[in-house]
Amino acid sequence: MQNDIKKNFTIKRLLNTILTVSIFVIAISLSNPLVVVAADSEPEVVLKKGVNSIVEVLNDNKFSDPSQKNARKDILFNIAETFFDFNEFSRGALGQNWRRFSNVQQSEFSKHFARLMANTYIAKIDDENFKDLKITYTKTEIIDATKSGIERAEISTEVFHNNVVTPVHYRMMKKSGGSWKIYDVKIEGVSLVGNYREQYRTRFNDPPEKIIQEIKDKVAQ
Amino acid sequence: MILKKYTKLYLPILYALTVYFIIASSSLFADENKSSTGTLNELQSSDELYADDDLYAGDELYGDEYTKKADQAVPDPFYWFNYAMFSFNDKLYFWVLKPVAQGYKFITPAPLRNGLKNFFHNALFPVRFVNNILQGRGYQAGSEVKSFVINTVGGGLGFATPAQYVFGIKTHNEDLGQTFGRYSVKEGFYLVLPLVGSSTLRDSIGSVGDFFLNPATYIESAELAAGVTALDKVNAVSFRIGDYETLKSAALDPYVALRDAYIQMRRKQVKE
Repeated sequence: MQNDIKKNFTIKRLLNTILTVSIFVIAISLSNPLVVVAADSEPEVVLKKGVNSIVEVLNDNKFSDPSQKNARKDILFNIAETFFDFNEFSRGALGQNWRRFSNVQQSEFSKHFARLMANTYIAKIDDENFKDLKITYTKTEIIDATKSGIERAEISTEVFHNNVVTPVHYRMMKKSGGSWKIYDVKIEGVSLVGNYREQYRTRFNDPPEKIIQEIKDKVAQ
Repeated sequence: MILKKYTKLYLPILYALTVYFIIASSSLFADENKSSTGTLNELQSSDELYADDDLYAGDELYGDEYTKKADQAVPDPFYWFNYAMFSFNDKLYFWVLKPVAQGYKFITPAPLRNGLKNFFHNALFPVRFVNNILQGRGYQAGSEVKSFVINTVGGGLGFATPAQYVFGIKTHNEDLGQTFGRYSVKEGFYLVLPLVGSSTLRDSIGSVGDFFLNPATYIESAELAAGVTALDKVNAVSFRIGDYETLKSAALDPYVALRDAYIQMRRKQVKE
């Protein structure tokens, strides 16, 4: 009898605990944060179109032969140029050094810098691991326009490949012609432009020719 | 035996005292570093001459966010030590870690590697849970509990992740370094640790605290503990072979690139 009561009591306590925990869990589940659903905005359309055509080329069997590797690289670079603004990339990367460059030097730098970006990152995605590449667009955010009124947007994506999820954010700007272009990419929160900017920050004593030559050598490697 | 008992008791207390000391003196550190680093600092101060608003007129896209103001930059007073450790870790990666991870990847089927990754992630539940609580993120802490319970019970100790696949629950990698950051503790200074890699004063102290919350710490046999930690590391690297190479080959100065990438990444994690 005594034992039975004891047993009953333990079971009751156990049930009570389970009930409390489940209420806790349910309460948490109900307090889900709001899910934002937005229609595709203009910059998002541009980005999706560009990314899709890159993925298309990557998955195209026409280029799967190793001898086609360079041809594919050029095609990918040409696509990238349509929605990446490498001139802005270069300006941002050089930071305060940019204005020490003459116009000719600026475009010279941009040309090679674009190649460096493309070589590195195309080589990276042009890889077996990226066969199962999956991209989800999670959020589009309009960021404040700059002082002179350049409209900007930040588009968040998640790239799923090789069983790893990598957050990639694209920052886009509206060019004076009305088209949207990417001016910075953040991978896992690390801004590409910001990263180069930090590397060039202490280089204000180096002549522009030296900086351009350095990039050229890097591309040739 | 008695000693062991005492150390177990005193370590957390000692740790808490250290943290208190560091937080209290973190402003001191910042000031000290501004005046103590010779040549680099001179460079930076003449750099500041250029950081005049006018000069940035054509650079407004990036100017506001990426211009390093003096109070935003993380000082690097132990540059030479850090640089040596960076070179050491670099060699360690290319000579040991990468070949081992590649061999491991070759002989280990992908589902097993994935399962192990999930298992180790699940086992670090205490770290995420406690830090979510410390940061006042109740909803996220709840997600951690749900995920841990579902994956441990329904996913075979966390090898499978039904909480993510079936219920779509997200987990959030919060650690003590981020918690300190959330409490407005500055990074202190940049630090490269052997084997561990990039860190800061704040994050190093944080990882000591997280060490007490890591179940692997409480494995009795030292050999087993070392084995488990090594397996975790090699398994994790097997998913990321090539990432470090990309960063390094794209960089003009790999040391600075890595330092900046680490600081940027951590600041984003603290913010989120």
